[in-house]
Amino acid sequence: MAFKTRDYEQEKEAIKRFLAEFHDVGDDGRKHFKYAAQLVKLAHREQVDLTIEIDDIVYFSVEFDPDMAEAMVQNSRRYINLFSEAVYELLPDYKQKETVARDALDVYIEHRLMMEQRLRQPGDSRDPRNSYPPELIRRFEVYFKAPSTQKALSIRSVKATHVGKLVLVRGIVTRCTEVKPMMQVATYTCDQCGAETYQPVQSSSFMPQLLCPSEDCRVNKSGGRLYLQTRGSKFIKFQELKVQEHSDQVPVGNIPRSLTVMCRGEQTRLCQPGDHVAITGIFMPLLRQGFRAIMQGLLSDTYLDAHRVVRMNKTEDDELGSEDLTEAEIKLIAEDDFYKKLATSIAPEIYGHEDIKKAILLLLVGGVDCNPNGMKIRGAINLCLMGDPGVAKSQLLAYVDRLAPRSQYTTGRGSTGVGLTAAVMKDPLTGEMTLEGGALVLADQGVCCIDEFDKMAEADRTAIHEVMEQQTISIAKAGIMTSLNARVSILAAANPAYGRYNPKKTVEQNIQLPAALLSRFDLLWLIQDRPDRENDLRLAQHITYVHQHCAQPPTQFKPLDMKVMRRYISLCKKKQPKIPESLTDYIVSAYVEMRKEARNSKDMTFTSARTLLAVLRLSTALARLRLVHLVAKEDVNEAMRLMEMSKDSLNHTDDKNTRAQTATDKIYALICEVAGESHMVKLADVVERCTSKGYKPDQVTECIEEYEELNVWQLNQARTKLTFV
Amino acid sequence: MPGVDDWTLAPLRAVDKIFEECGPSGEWRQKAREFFKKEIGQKTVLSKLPWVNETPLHDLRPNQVVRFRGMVQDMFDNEFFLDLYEVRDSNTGTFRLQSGRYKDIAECGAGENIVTDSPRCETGDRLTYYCVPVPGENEWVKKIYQDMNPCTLGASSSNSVSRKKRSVTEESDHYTSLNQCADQTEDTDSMKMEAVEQGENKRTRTEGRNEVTQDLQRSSSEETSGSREAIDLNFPIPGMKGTPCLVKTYDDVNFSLNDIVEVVGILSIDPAMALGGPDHDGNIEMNTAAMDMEEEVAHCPPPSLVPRLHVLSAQKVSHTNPLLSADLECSGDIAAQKGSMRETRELLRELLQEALLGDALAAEFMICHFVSSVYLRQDVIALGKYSMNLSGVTKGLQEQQYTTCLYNLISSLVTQSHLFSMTLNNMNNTVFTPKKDYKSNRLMSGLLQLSQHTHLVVDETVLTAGQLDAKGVQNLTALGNVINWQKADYDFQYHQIEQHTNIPVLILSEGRAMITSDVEVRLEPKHTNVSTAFTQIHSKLTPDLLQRLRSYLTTARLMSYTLSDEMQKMVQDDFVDSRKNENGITASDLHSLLVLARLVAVSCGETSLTPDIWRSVKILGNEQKLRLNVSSH
Repeated sequence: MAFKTRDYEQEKEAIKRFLAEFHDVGDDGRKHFKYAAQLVKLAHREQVDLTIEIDDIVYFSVEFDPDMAEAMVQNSRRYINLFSEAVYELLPDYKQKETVARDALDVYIEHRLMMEQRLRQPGDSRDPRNSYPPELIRRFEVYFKAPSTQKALSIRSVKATHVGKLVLVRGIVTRCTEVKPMMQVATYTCDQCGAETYQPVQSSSFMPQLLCPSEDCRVNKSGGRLYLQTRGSKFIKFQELKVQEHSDQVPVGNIPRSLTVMCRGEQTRLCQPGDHVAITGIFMPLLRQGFRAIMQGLLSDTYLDAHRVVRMNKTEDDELGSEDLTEAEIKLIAEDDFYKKLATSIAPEIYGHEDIKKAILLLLVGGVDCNPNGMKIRGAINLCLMGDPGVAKSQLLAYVDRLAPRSQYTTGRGSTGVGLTAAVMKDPLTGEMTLEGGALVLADQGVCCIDEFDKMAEADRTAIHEVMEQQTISIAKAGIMTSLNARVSILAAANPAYGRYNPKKTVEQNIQLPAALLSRFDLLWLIQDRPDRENDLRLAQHITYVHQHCAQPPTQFKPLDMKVMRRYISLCKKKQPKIPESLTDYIVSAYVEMRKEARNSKDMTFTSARTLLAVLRLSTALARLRLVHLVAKEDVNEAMRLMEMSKDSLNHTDDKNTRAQTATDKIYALICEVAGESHMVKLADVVERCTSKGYKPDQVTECIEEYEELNVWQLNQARTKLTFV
Repeated sequence: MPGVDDWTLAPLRAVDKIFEECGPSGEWRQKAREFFKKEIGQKTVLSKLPWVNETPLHDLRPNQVVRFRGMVQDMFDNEFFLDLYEVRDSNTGTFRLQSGRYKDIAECGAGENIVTDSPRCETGDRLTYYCVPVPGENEWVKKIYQDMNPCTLGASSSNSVSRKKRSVTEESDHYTSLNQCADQTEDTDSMKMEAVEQGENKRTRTEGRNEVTQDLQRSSSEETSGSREAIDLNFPIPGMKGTPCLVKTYDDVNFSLNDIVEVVGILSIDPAMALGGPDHDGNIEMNTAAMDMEEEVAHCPPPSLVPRLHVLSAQKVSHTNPLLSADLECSGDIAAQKGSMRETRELLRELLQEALLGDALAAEFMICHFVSSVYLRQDVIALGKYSMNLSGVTKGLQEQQYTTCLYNLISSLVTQSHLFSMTLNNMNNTVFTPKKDYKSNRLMSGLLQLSQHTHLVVDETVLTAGQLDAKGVQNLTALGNVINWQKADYDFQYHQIEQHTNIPVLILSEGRAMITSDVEVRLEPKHTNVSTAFTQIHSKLTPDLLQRLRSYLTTARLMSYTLSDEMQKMVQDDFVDSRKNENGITASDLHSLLVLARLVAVSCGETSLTPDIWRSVKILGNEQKLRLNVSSH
């Protein structure tokens, strides 16, 4: 082993040099002595902990000893001591002014040092037993920070080979003790000769010394007894933690493992149960004392001696893996149909329903919030799925619940308005009134999936009104008046009122939800279960394939992994795309068109100002999905197409039997409408109009080609204009 | 090489021998592993090993090789131990190296000390699984294992006496009895004290010595009498009996929670280990980490209750049927039975028809339910499960104890089963989902922590009107999750961990059950005389027939099955056609029909779907639907 042959004296010199000379060049071009500056602070007792970044060591020692950093990781305890000694020896040089004593121990140490100077003749060697242990005098703590190249381990993979090494683990804190004082150096005085004896305590327990070992007592055999002096002893803060693996690090069918972490000094009080943490520390065996050391001789308990405890929130811990994502991302974006791909990756086991999945994808990404002049316009997208029983609505909801990083799943029947919003509770111990957040509050910044929305009691449903538009919950109850944030997207699923959808009735009658609530949903979707030979066959093939091969049928692509989806969505959420000026006219005219149409045809849904907002939300969500800063025209078109499709699912429920109009026929009618009196139409206009009506560009081209063959019109060479013959 | 008899009774000596041959740096670990593997591979050796499950612990000797079968209930954290340790003889001052594998307690004779901080020591890690006896294992299974158990009581007890004698005389012997051990600790302890308290007068010293002995006595008496109630053995089914084991594995075998494992290992029941627990009340040693106390108590139960097993070989088993060999595929059990399976099925159907009071349709579905098993999971759906709701158990039948009779019949056929009486009280008070207790750092078991293929029979007929409290509602949801998705969310307080289950659930109810199952069959009894029906059955059930049915059920469940391309096409066309004709059939209907087809096929001994079976399955499905429609109008 390489580090066994290292010369530690030489090493110490190197460390001293490192502490004194390491610097980086700041923005202003001046040298910034990172550790030297800290040493000054340490010397003046303004700072207690000194964290050595091993990255710096790597950088510093590269010329003379490239292995040093590695040795520090492998044999951390030894190097901590070396660093402590080095710092201790360096400190007096950095002292620039007299310091004020901070606590009793400072005064105590000062007195002892002064006494020593006064009493001792130079050259007189002091009895080593009565000398001050370095632990007593040192008032600083040295910690290591693992090199950034070191990967965080799961607790599962911390094995016997890691004993004595610096490791970095991630986990969730499950328990922690109170912070207690732990004796580091015990100081005794002798009742006979008055000499002081010091005993450094290394392990978790110690055997108190009883007899005075000083020269006087031994020579005189006076049998002086030692008494522990609390004021002269040095205590440090001590806290014990239990850290458990993250649930995503646990293989299927296993129990998460845990690890004991001991925090000392400055590392205490950094986390609480439930926190997600990353801990750097030295993996150490715990020495058992006395009786048990013999009884359980073969077992050794282990613990992690914490050097750096960092708290992270749940979303941040994904940051560690952000590098991994970029490659997947590039791959994602490189492909043209990534939008479709992402959409179909949602609940891949559910066949079809592509547009609904697209809508759900947009819901997960969310639109952009905007606050012009203090008015708040929500960006969260609400979606309601209605449908006949057995069309996998609940499965879609269950999938979203699992995919979204923050989500709550409730059923309308099971939850009251109070359960959804917030309840005022009386604390049984203190008698105080406290607020307990309901599902909607808990899902703040996330998704709330409400199944069986129609079964919810009327009174409870009204509680949701405020949430869906204002994104807050106001409570005025039991003397508590407050407003809680509930920035949630609502994904609701409802069954039609009569069991099956009755196309002859309006949407309201069908699901028995008031217009006020319905209009708050950006998209309403009716999933109908209609026999359709082609679809049925494909569905049957899908199902039989699953039963036969125990796997998904091979589609054009593999569905994306949930983790990748999650990361991608969180990446999308960071973007705040804006709508450019140039698009406003387009959007306005499109909206006016929609209003006109709603007036003309007997529309069963509502086209209101809310619809316009919905279009804006959907288009910003689409822009987010492409990771761009500006909303493009295609985004608006796609948003309108989705709106159209959602309306379509509601309106054209039964016309299949009456009219045999294909998409091509409808597109033809549209084109004629665009053309009006003139004989020439720009193709761009046509495509735009058609997409806003919910037709895909390839359908349009198909239509154009078909009618061209029939000699109805002609397309020019550049494919920009249509001329009617 | 030591002889066969020799090594099964003294496996540690075999390890030591190998260790000596190879030397501490050699491949002794590998060699030892190979040696055990070779020996255990022999059927004759294996059959001689006693089962811990069937043998009382006092009939087993410490450190002998035993077998154990159980379910992984909990996994503890990695345990670090001294794989190699150095012992110093304080009399002679010599050092020697020892292997610490397969041991809990260090061996050192009088005047020997372990040098824990020696650089020659090597630390290893091992995994500890807490295994409970297979929950719901039926009596007949236990009986057969009992008969197969080679332990001969008389011989072993006389043997152990002579052993004890030898252990006193032979210093190098590995068996340390309680006395010897206590002596030894006392010796070392007092020695240490001597070192520390040189100036102390003799009085305190002897006092201290007495204290230690008293403590030892007290704690050992406590262990035998008091702690039996105090320690919760964490069984999933309340009132279950048996010996749980702490199974310690050395190689990278990876078991999942709730796996059924069969273990061959070295039994370690040295009472000294128990002292770790009681000594916490603190007079000997101040434990700094107060947090560990409960954990230690939970993780180190007295070995008289929970023996330790150091694994020599362990494997996950797919079934616990003692009538069949562990590995069905290789042994040709399936092939042997295949021919007669249709016949056996017919026998079983007749029997069940009798039990279901003449209802042939219900009997068909019951067979399918018996052989169901999850074979595929796709995100949220689990295919292959076939939970069944037998409704129409009327008041008249209930009064004749019909549900109990039926359950008794089921339990005499399947290997594991449990009857849950769904009373309000039970719903509100039983623990269903396992929960992590962070105080003692272990998973508190619940009723739904069952190994795969444990038939859970829920008797809903005993449910009365009343109030379900919060826990009851949670329990109901948990049960519903198992039935509909075959998963249980274990409560880890800070988050939930989804655990897949594979438990066929049969609900007996009067009307339609509260929780919808995959299939509801309304019982249509031809007569209502329960007692005559079951006496009839009992007269029919000869041991031969029983054995045949039992093997049949296990084999059918584990058969492989394929769906050929032609059949796929036929199914697809059928589906499209029926969609055209009537609007009722949905995708989920097709799913359940395909599952039913699979179950009917395997229960007939077919490995793929045939047109005949498909047709009969469709008829079955229609009949069942029809019957429900008729009864609901």
